[in-house]
Amino acid sequence: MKRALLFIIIFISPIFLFRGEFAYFLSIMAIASIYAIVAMSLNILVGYTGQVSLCHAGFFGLGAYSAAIASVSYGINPWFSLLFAAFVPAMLALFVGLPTVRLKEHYLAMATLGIGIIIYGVLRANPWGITGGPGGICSIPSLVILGKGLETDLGHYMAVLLFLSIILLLSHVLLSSRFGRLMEAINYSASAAMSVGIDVNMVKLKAFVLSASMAGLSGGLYAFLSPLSYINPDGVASIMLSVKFIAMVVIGGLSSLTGGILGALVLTWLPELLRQLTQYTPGISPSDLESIIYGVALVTIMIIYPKGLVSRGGRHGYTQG
Amino acid sequence: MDILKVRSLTKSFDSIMAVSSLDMDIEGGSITALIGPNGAGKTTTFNIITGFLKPDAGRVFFKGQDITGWPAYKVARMGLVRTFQKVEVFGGLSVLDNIKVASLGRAMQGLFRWMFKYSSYVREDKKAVETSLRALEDVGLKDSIDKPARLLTFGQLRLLEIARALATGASMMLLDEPAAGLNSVEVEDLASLMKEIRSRGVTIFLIDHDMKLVMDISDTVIVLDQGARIASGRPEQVRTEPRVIEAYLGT
Repeated sequence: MKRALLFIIIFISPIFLFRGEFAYFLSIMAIASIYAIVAMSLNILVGYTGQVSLCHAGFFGLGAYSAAIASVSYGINPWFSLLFAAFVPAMLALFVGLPTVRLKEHYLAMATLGIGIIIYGVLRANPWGITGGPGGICSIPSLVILGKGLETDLGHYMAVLLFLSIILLLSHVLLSSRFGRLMEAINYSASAAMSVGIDVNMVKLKAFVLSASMAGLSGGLYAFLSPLSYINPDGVASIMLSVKFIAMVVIGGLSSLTGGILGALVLTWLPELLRQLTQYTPGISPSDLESIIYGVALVTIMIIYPKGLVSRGGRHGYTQG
Repeated sequence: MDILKVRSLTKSFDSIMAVSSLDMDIEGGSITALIGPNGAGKTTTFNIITGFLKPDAGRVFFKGQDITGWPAYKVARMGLVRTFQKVEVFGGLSVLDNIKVASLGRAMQGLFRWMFKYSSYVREDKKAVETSLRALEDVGLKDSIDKPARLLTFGQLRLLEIARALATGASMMLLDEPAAGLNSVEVEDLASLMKEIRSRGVTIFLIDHDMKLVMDISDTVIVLDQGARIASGRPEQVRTEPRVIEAYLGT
């Protein structure tokens, strides 16, 4: 309960604090919230079902592109375009999931890494001239609420916060449902689940498709709310972004929805704060310093909190037998 | 009436013959034991019957249906449910949830059932809790329903696996060394539990090394050595077979 309250304060207070010259920070909070949705989607897969995915930036990017293309090239209302953002990645996940869900651990990691690379490559390659190649897509319209475009940082942030709350609530209900219990069960013992008549691969496939769909929806939001109304493959579908999503989940804590949110906050703010530091370290480029400290921070957190910053106590790192 | 028929079942790993043209008939409502020295192919046989391994050749019939090569979950849905030599439970879930997963079975797999069929969802859930509690009472674990399964003792974990099989409504149970690691009191309780399960018409097929238990409860004993059946029959017949004595004591 305390933790929930803390999160509400963290997410509501920027609306009142970040004004005037700090309004820019609201857009960082908006990005953090969008990433938080992806982290939650990934946590359902990695933390609960025990399946790894190194292609979530691919689904995120595909969602962003689907929404952007639908609205820019076909003039579809941005709100409807969000449906494409959720649907297209889900279809791809179904297609690639059918042969890959039966893979385990490193093999699954390698397969999903390959899928991520393919999505990134296809977006860059500009097939049929629809993705705009390395340059991406620009002039993406804004979401419109009650006839008013959400162009301000505050508007962006409020819209994302609304989505984050709804998705958090739905995820919570899903995880408390039977299906949530079942995902945990197959994570603890797939053999035991099979032995009582559970189609384990089907459960994994469903979790994968659902997770991809959530990540895609989040990507769609990103497309409409990105500060420059612009997306490109490096920004939304790079392999580094997939790694970053995994890091958010692991740092925040596996099998805890709020853990993913915390991980997203930490890993979105950390680079921003590090950027401020670079003025004291002449000779090292900001991005190099950022990567170095970022890496050190990851390793440190994992050593001090091997179960993540938010852990439900003794749930992970445990193997039966 | 034979509930399970195995015909010329064969499986080899690399060049080692684990099971070679094995034939077996298990009578419905009986307790049958599969015994033999280590490496005789007992667990491999169980794995093939329950769909955890595919055979190289041969057929498995359950209730007259050819189930050879079926995936494990489909075999389980037919009513043929196993336990594991190396205990497999859902460690972080409560004892009750461990059994509920088994009792609800495929009904667990709907992603959005709670959304669209809420009233039947609640009803199913209530029924599953009842079934689970009954199964836990049968094995004597009713006092630990809220404990995470990983905190149970080894003997309790074995019972949890049997309760899980019971809750699926299985008509036949394959128990892989249910008495391994249990103390003598626990083995006695296990023996009466198995007899109780048989009295409900559930067929039991078990592997075990505890000869006293096997001879005491089994209607039929099948002896395997090097993947082949070397003897079968009533316990008192089998124990006097020269080939069995030879296989166990060596030459």
